[in-house]
Amino acid sequence: MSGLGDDRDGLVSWHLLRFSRTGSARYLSHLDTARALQRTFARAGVPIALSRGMRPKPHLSLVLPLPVGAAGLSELAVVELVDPNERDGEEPGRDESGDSRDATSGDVSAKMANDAPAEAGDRLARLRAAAPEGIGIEALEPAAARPRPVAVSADYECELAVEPERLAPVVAWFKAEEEVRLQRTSPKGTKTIDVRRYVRGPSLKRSGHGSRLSFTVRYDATGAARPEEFVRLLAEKAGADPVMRDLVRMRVAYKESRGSTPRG
Amino acid sequence: MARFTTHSQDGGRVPDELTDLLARVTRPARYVGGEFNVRRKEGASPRIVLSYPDVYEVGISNPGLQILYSWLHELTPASVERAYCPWPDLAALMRERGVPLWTLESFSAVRECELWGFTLQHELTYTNVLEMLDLAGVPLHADERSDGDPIVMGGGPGTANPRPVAPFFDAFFIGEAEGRLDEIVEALRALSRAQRLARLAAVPGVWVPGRQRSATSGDGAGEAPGDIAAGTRHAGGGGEAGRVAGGQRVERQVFTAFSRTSPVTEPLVPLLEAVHDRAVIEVMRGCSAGCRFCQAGLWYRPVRERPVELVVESAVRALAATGCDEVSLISLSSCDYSGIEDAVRGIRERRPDVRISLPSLRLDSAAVSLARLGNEQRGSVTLAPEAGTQELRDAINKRVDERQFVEAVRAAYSSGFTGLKLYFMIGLPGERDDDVRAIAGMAATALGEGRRLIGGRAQLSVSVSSFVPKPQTPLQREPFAGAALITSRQELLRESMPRGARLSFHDVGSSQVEAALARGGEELAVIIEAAWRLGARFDGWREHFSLETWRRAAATSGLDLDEAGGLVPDAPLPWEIVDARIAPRFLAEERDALTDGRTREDCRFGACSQCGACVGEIEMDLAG
Repeated sequence: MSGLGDDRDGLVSWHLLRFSRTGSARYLSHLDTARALQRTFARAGVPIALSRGMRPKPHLSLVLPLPVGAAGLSELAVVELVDPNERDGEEPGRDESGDSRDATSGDVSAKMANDAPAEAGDRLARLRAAAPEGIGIEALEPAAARPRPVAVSADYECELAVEPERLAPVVAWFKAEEEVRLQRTSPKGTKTIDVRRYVRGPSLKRSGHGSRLSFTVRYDATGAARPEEFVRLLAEKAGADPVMRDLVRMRVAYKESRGSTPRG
Repeated sequence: MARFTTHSQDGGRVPDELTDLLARVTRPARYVGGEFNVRRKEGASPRIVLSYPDVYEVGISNPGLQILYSWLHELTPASVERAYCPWPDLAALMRERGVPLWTLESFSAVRECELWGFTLQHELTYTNVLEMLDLAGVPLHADERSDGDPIVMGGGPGTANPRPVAPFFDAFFIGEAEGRLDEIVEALRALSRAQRLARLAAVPGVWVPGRQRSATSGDGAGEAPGDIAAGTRHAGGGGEAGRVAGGQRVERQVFTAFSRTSPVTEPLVPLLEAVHDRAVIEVMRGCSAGCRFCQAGLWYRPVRERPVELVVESAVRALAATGCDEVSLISLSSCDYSGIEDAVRGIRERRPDVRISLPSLRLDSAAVSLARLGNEQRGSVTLAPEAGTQELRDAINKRVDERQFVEAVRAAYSSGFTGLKLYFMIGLPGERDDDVRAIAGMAATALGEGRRLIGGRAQLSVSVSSFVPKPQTPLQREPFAGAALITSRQELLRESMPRGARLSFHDVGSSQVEAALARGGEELAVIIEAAWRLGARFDGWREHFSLETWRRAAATSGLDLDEAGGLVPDAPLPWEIVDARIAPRFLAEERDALTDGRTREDCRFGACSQCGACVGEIEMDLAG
């Protein structure tokens, strides 16, 4: 199936999908999560527009990857949908005779920009019913133009198997330092990251498993710290098991990459 | 601060003691379920756990397990859950921490179920069966299990010869289980384990090793002596030693209602990337082509086809329920399905946006064209000539001539496919060096045609496996060619292949083990267990298989791996307990035809071959 081409503004529209990833779904990779969402849309009969070329790909992208094992309560994806005003069961891009819809026929653009509330509600209900366990569909918001949100900051919490009394001095040390560097190794090589630059406001509470650590990761043009890097750093400094449990991304603040106001 | 959504679908909460484990292993999503179309029956009984003894990504794609899972849920009161074989990293942690194998649906201990069913698809999964039993805390040997242990039942094509793993299983189901699920579930309602086994033994198709069906009493008291091991080299020779005790055999079950029942249309769809990512519709069961090496073709006879309308409607429903953009019309030879063109066109009309794939293409141009009709984007197509010369192809009854081959190759390269994959076997009975060189000749022909039609874009890969004689086939008594001969033939092929063709071989060592296990008697169980204790796991995975481990396992058992699975001429076969519904006369005739060049035509188009599969209400059932 070929892509719809650049002159398809009357047939497709961009949306922001807000969703959560919890329960058993937290163990999915970034690509698996994207695939699960694509499949959810297909099962719900809400077609996603495809890219052009020999191997069309659905136009759905997750704004900020979640680490494997992490739950996310405030996740965002950008998705391009095919005409939402088609009747149920009708194939995307075709009218009753089976011919491709002409973008100029009728007031398609107007319909696209003003998504009927009843249809939007029905579509949201279908998405929620079609989603697998652990993927919560919260909202599907139409956008006038292709949105390009980027993350500004994200609030995390996780459990560590170490008593707060052992971890607190390490947290205090981290806060006091101007720089805290670690080595990040990837297939591309090794580079040095200043974790202090990207991580703000770590705090501790006692929990059933030891400590509940809260912190914020900042994202900027130079990159970000990975939550697991920061947690491993603290745990190893405290002489504790670096494996974190129940990592949850509680909230993410986004902005449009063209510099508009942040959205949370 | 964000909150969980009000529409929470978080029904699969992972227990705390598992979250720590899962934080330390690769691909933890393998172990937590939560798939699309997962089902649960809280508090239902009996509890059944189904397992494919391999890693999740392989097991979740198995169509047989999908059928059982769906049917047991929908048509019986049983609760059905699943477990797959943990990857070594998790297995080590489980042992270290004493965490038993759990089910994906409820994270319950597998050993708490009433029936634990394994599908035995191939011999190289047998050590994984032991691994899973051990991780679950279930005694490896059936005769060591007691009331608190589940009944461990094996099924699938491995039951064509269940002997090598018989000591590990309480029961086997021989053949297609769909028609007996009610009876199996009913048998599990008995109060004690012994009673359940006794009732299962009375279900047609069930073999309970160590029991004789005629000797079972209603309450399961007084077990009869076990069946005598059949005639293998290690069981003391042939002759009288191999007869099945009491003359009792278990008849392979055939699901006669196949054509009238819908395929699974709401299968489990993994969230993790699996081996296959497509909706699957079984259009046909059984095969009448009659390739003499093929176990599955005979094992699933007679041919039964689903009506085209049912196939099309089911495909549309399955695509909607799975969200897949590809549907595979599966069978042993889908292009032989009499409604295949109508089915492809019918699905195409209803869902023009999806790809339709046809595995196991017949080797002719029409099949290739059909494959292209179903999938315009796919870049490659697979054909299986199996042997390099007409003489050898005739010997194995692969009725393909040079003209058909060339036409199919031309159809492939001229219809948009840029890649062609050819499957061959070496080590066949009667094979000579010239037969092996002829494989290279066919590869050269194919590549030449490709380059002539599409120039440098033409790609060719040749995959060569080793012939392993399988039970219940005309070639069941033929010897395995042996590692030395196969290795030399591989080298000959390497030297003969045309430049530009990619060549790959199936590992000889694993073929050797497969050959030993396929035709062995119960003495092989000792080797299987020894191999597992020496660390053999995931033997079907190249990176995990160790021939040296298996050799040591055989040696510690006082056996020679090179001789294991070898048969004493004219002695009863280890799998005599299984009545495959294939006439011995037919197998003998087909064996004789190996050397006299006779081919036998497909019985759906020509004369009945009197193979024995069609008896009474069991008969061929075609769609068109």
